[in-house]
Amino acid sequence: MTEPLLKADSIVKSFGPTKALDSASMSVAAGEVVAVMGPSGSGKSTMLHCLAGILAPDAGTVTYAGRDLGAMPDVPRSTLRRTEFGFVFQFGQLVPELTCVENVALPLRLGGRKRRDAEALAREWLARLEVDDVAAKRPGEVSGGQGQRVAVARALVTGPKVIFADEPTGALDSLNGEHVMRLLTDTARESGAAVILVTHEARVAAYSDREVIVRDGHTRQVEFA
Amino acid sequence: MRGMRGWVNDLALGVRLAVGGGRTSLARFVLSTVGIAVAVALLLVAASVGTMVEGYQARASANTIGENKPVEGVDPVYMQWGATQYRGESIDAEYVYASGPHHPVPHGMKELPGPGELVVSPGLADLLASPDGELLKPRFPGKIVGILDTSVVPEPGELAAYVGADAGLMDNLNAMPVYTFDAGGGEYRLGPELLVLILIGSVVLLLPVFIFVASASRIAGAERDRRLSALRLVGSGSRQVRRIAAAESLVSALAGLVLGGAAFLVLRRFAEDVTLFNTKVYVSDVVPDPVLVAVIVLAVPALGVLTALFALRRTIIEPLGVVRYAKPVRRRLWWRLALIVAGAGLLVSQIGRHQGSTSWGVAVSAGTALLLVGVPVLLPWLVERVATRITGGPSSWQLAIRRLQLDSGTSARVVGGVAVVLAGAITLQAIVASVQNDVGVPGAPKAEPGVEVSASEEILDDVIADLEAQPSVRGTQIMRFAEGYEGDGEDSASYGLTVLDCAGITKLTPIRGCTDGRAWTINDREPAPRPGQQLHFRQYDDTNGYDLSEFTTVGSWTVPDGMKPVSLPESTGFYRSMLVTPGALHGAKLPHDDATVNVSVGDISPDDEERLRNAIAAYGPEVYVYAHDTAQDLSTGQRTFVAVRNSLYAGSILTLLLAGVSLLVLALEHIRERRRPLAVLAASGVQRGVLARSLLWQVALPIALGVLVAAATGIGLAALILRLTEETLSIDWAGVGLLSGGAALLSVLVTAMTLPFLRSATRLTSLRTE
Repeated sequence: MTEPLLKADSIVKSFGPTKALDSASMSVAAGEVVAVMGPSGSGKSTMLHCLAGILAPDAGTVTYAGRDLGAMPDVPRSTLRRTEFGFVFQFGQLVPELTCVENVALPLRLGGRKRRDAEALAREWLARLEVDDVAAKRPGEVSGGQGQRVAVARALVTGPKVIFADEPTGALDSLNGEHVMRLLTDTARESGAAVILVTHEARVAAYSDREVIVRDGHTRQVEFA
Repeated sequence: MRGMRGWVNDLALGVRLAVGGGRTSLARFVLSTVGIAVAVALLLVAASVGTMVEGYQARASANTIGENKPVEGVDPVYMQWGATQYRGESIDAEYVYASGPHHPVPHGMKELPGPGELVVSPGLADLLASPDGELLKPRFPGKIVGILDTSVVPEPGELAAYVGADAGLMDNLNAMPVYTFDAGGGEYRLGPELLVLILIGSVVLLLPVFIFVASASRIAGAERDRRLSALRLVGSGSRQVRRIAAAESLVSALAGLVLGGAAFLVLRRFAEDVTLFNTKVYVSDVVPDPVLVAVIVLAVPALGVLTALFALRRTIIEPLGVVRYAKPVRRRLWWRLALIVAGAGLLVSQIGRHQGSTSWGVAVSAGTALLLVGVPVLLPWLVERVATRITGGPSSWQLAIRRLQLDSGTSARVVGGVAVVLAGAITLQAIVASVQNDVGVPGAPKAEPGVEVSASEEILDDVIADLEAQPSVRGTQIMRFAEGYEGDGEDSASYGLTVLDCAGITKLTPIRGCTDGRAWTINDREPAPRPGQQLHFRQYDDTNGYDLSEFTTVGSWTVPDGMKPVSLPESTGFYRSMLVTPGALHGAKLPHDDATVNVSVGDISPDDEERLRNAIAAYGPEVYVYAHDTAQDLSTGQRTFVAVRNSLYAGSILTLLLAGVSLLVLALEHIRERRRPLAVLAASGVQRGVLARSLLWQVALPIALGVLVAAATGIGLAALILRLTEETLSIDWAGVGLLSGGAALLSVLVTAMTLPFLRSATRLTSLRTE
């Protein structure tokens, strides 16, 4: 296995008396697609949030490209999320007030890019994800599948190293789900981005290179033959 | 460079989020903007009060008499002030005669009017030219040769005239020689009661506006939280996201500033049509102070930004959601009461102090503001206390009470807005009701209608004959007033006495069995002299009253024994202290002053009243007609109070509506946020009626408590203020009931308006997750 890009080492995370992660470990190499699987309440989303630096573990370390995310202040962590990470969640991650193209251009604009440049790049990504026809619409005016493809475009627009996808097809029918997964993994692989995919569906996990099983806060690696 | 561009980008994004959102964002933007615009327009009007007063002062003092002692080479202008009334409006008339070619000319006119000529104010010129002024023309029969410049007419529409007189004016004791006319010297100040009314009005109007703006910012709060989290998720820093949120508020503040400014500019064009506080202002005087405008322009957006940042102070915006640190704080009573006690204390401390001084104004307005602010501050504590003590009741009641027990603060704060309006309105209503008794506004106890004519002794018989020739006149009684002094000093104590014959006494007072030679002390309001005390009557040499040191004692009178006290209504125009019959004077000589003819008219029409004035118009300034409670038209003073009262009602209704919208916003947000639990309740079989009633109780309980606190505060505050201005408290219970009923109706209306949303929220489809 190549040197991991992102690594969680024996991390512990509790919410009140509930231990969501208990000495859980996993790693992701550059360009790798890893599925994090497990039943509801097993701690898989918590694992993803800790890996993305959204949640800080109570114990253990999360390192990205050799840097400890837990020791990183808010500003560089936010910059990391904007420039090197991308996110696709089940729902709620698009800003309803902005049009689809503005949503995709948002991380670029937050980074200081000019609106025209940012939106031109956003349109390219919308076209790659076959949703350029909804560029001027607001998220509330497009279908669930289109919305998720817009979210994928937004996750990829900054050329991230890692994409975090939490149940990206959870709110879609199977046909749309397949379409979104194919586009997500194909475009990620084309651009060399790693994907960490949280799901409890085997057919979604089938798009990954390997699986990590989370159960009761513990992790177990599954290598495909 | 990146930092600057980043800031600009963040602000631009905030602007984009504020104005480019969906319906709810737009509703929040529009409501916040309108609220801020109302506040800005009010602030701009308040910022213009200084220039309005200055403008009035400048015009009022533009034409003062400079020198009435001889000036070499100047031929004096002889002037005698006269006045009349027309349809309740006062008309000032200066009778003038130039004694030679080198005479001064008052400011605002080119030439002094000659005999039979007039120079009139634009308002009087318009009135005389209109059919409405038909009955006024006999009093101003001269030819109009000039119109006064508005720079010397203090108020638009003011009725004033310079009437050219003949050389006979020089022999008149009441005419004064004037050698120069000056500009400046006069000073205009608002009366203390009206100043307090303005201050309370401003506090009352602005507080609900602030609460309204705060309520509007709560619209779509959950959506905003989600939006800010989404921004954090895609990599915006915690400070950056706060900047974006602040920019969203900044947009409303700036839009409100522009809209408020525009509304002010539009409304000021109608300034000359509005009479408020007995005063009209020129449009050109309604100009806000530039410094205050700069403060408003800078402070309103700054406050908008600070408010947004303040609202986020205990909030952590994370990519997964917004977390608010909220400790369950037990509401304390002491500091809430301290505000009220401090306010009441400030007001009590001013009882008996000099009214109208700066410190008095500051203390009274601060005390009033503290007391009024105490209402919305006390209410959350009271609602919480009451809600925690309530148990039992039907399901709807229980649901409402449990909800209030969990979170009563928000609705109590909004109801606080209603309560402030109510308390302020009740205060103002009580003040107006108390003062209107003195003014004699319709609705207050009416005095007997009557007309009094003052005339000098020389023309008295002719005046009476002319009056009695009028068909509306039923009879006349002559009253003479005099002031009896204890000693010869300038500061000697004096007592007023009214001399009236028995026929007049029987006609005008409740005294029966009057015989000539009797005397009475009037009421017990003012001290009466001791029986046997010697009083002296003075004839002042300076007829214009400029010099009170030069006088001649024309007669003396010994106060008789056995004067009985008699109670006469305030409306009786008698001098206080004593009422005496001519026989009781025992031949004592009274000063050569004007006598007053009381004219019995019964119910007289406004036109007849004007004809009566016209009948004696030929005597010019030698007679003055005063009518009380005769005309159906109200006097200027009465109209002022009616205008103030009506604007208070209109303002109260407007602000109640504003508070109602705040309540509606809150109720709708409540339904939006609790959409799922409400749908679950409906799915479990809870009838919509129960849910609707629970919403009603949730609004009605805080409102009921708000009305109670507001009524107590309003009446208490009015009592204190009236003690300060030495008026008697008179509560308009019907008005209090009306306003309280209005607030209760508001809670029902708000609930009724939320019902369609409740119906939509409780559809079983709401159980779907997203």
